[in-house]
Amino acid sequence: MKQLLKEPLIHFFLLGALLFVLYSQVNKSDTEQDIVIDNADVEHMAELWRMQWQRPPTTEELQGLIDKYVNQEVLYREALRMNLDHNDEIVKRRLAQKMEFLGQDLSGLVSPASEKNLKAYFEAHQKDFETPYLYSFYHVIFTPDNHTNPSEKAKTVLREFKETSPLKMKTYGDNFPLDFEISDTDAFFLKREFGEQFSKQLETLPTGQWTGPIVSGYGVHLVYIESRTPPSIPNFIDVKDEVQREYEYQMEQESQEAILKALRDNYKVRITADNLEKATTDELAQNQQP
Amino acid sequence: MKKSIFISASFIIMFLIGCKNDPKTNVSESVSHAEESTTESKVKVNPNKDAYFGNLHVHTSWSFDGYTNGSVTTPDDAYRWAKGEAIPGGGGGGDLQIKVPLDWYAVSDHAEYMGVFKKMEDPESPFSKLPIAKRITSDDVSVSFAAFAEVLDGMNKGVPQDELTDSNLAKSLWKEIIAIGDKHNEPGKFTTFSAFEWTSAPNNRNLHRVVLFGNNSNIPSLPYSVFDSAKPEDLWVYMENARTKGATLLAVPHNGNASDGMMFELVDSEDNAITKAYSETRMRNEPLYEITQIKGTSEVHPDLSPNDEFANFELWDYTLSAITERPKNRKGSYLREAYKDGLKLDSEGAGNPFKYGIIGDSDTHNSASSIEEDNYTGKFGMENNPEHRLEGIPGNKEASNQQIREFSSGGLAGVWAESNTRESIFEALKRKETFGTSGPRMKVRFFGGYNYSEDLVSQTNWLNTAYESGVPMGSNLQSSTGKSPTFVIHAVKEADGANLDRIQVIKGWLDANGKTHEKIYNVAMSDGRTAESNGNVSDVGNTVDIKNASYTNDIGATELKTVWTDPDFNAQQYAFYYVRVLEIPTPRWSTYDAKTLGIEPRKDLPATIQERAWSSPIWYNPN
Repeated sequence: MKQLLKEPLIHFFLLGALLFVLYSQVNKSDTEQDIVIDNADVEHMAELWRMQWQRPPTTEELQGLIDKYVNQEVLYREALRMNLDHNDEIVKRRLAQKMEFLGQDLSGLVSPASEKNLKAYFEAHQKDFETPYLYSFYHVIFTPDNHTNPSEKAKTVLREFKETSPLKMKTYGDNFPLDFEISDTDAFFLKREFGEQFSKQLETLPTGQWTGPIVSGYGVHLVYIESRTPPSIPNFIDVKDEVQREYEYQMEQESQEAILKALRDNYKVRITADNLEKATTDELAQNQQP
Repeated sequence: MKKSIFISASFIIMFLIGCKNDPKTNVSESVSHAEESTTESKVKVNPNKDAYFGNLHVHTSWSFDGYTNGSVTTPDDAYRWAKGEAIPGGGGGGDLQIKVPLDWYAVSDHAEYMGVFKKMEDPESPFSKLPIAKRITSDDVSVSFAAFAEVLDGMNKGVPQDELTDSNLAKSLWKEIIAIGDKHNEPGKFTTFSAFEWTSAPNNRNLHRVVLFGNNSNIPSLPYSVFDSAKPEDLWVYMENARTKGATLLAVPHNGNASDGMMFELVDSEDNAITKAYSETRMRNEPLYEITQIKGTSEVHPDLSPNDEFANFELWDYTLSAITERPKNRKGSYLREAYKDGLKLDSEGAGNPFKYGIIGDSDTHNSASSIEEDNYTGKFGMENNPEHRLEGIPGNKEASNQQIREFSSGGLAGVWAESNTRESIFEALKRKETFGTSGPRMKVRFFGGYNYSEDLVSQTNWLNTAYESGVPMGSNLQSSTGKSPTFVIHAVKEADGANLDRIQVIKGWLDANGKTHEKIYNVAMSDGRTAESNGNVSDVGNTVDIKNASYTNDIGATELKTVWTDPDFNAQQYAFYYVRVLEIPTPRWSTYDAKTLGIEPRKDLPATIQERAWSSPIWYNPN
């Protein structure tokens, strides 16, 4: 039974039944050939108008809205009667997509983002929430614009001023639009600012001293790492929002797949076509330039 | 079979209930989400500003055309992609993943998507021109669809009007899009915005605008679509109305190149002359222009500026017509010309309706703005396959395939903001402290003033001085007391990208006879090159190995900087100045694809390109 309650398709049906009852409660008195415009309809039309034009409609405009509504309703119903919606590619796609949306909404019912579920998800996927390396460091840069051999230059500076205080070193590097002091910055950000290889190299450098040279996308650096915090698993409570986002995303995908699979199982799909090969080379694909 | 009828029924009921309840009580209620400030982590603030790179022109499968063209991704996927995750790509290709994540992103699906259900029957609607497949296959009518029709017919009577049905659907999707953005917004780390695209294209002439919201307070409950109006003036009314109700928003037009002269026409939508009120309204609502994107670059065309040796860059010379029609009018289609026209209008008392700041953007319809040339995955889902991109999509007309080959990989918006937050980035967009790039994350600084010293950029705190004694890109110079303006210009390459070739200043001005002119100054060059007496500069060279689709940074510069004074300044003349920074040549995406496929690059496409950045201008007004 417990298993059954977790089954998205069951919820699908239950929800349908519930909505069926609800619907009959609120249904209006319109019958097949009746089109009723009641107070609520008029209010609604006027409100839509107000939203667009920032004023209520005039009597004439309201009459126009009602006429338009009646005309549309008549045409719409006749269209349905003539089955014009059948085999219309757009109708099909839209309905299929709405079913997908419905499937997504359902996942919230089947696997709600309760504290318990989130914690369980977090425990099972801890690696995904690992914090990146975190650094505080000083650095100076030597670029190829200013030095024919930036690496040699860096080595020379390091040899000569290795023992100097971290702050003093600033004057020996190039004037470049990167901060000299980088504090509490994670590898994610460093990768964007300095390029891929720079932050990778920081992982193994000694701390508490001037060291290098190491390479970035801009040039060659000497680095003084003050602190390096290796990756760790955060507390659940600190990443709860993120866990919830991931959890809901995963659950939506899963319930979508489950529903689709369950629904598909009701159908016998037979591919009677024998022109598949021909079609893959000749079939006209749609293409537009919106 | 009963089962599937029931499923259909329950689904439709659910939909109708949604329609019934929601709007009647809440129709005028604005969508409002409190800005979350749950993060305790401190947000970095830099008064001298950092460049934050992102895109605000991004479609997903929730855009109708994204869906029909093979996109399998949602707005959620789009944000995941921008943050560095791999997402499914569809189109017979692999996953999509950016190499270096972006700083901010805004999904801007077509507003019309939400109304298309209604408009599909309307022969006047542009949507009827889309290849809406109306395949009538008479035998194979699905039984569940017959059931659906019955149920719908029977149940539908409670729906107030079918227009409402649509606006309800639109509202709920719009709400959903806003909520998804909120989920991914992390102040200081990654910023998201709510946005939609208004898709006006009279006679296939592109007038599209992306509408972007600075925050999620008081967002109108419905986006504005071309079905409301195809005139930009009416879009601005919608925006002003939203603003009086507390929303913060701006619009960004794009693809003047596909407008056949309509984007920057010298009349309004009713063919009236442009007035000061028109100019002010336009600029209040749309401060920025998307200078480059997948459907080409609209800075300048060689026909308009024959002396610009770099004008022929990723042009895409088509209208939006499905039958690959060429535009006839260059004037009114390209930004530089519009800048010049703007000076003239301004001098005639009509204000300047084209005082646009610059961004680059994508227009992907597959969630991923694959701006990296060596990681390009196409505009539509179907292009997620190098063979499709280069050799054509099977069944497509050759002309359509050529349009796809001529797509650029799209660009990026660079924003100088104090911090990576909605408020800070939106303010920067509004004040036009922005630049566009054709994809690389090079950073461009540009300041104008009268008191900058010649050696300013070699001083350590030059940025403070630049801000303190002048104005940044997107601003107006103060009027001159006779002194020529001086500009501080700085560019640095993308960390893991190609080196820089040169910095150019592009100046436009209006002479005493009411004629406009332009001139390009080469102001900073790599490798010790200097300008000849006629201003020309020798080529930077080309290290591209076409066969292997690779290049080296043996030429070019990491960083270029200069303080430049206009040698031809006339204090009586209206003028604008903007900066263009060129990279050294690198392989075009089609060259990377050719290598992947093991074939020769096509001769009708450039094998290498010089990617670039454009700053927002600084304007000079003599009055």
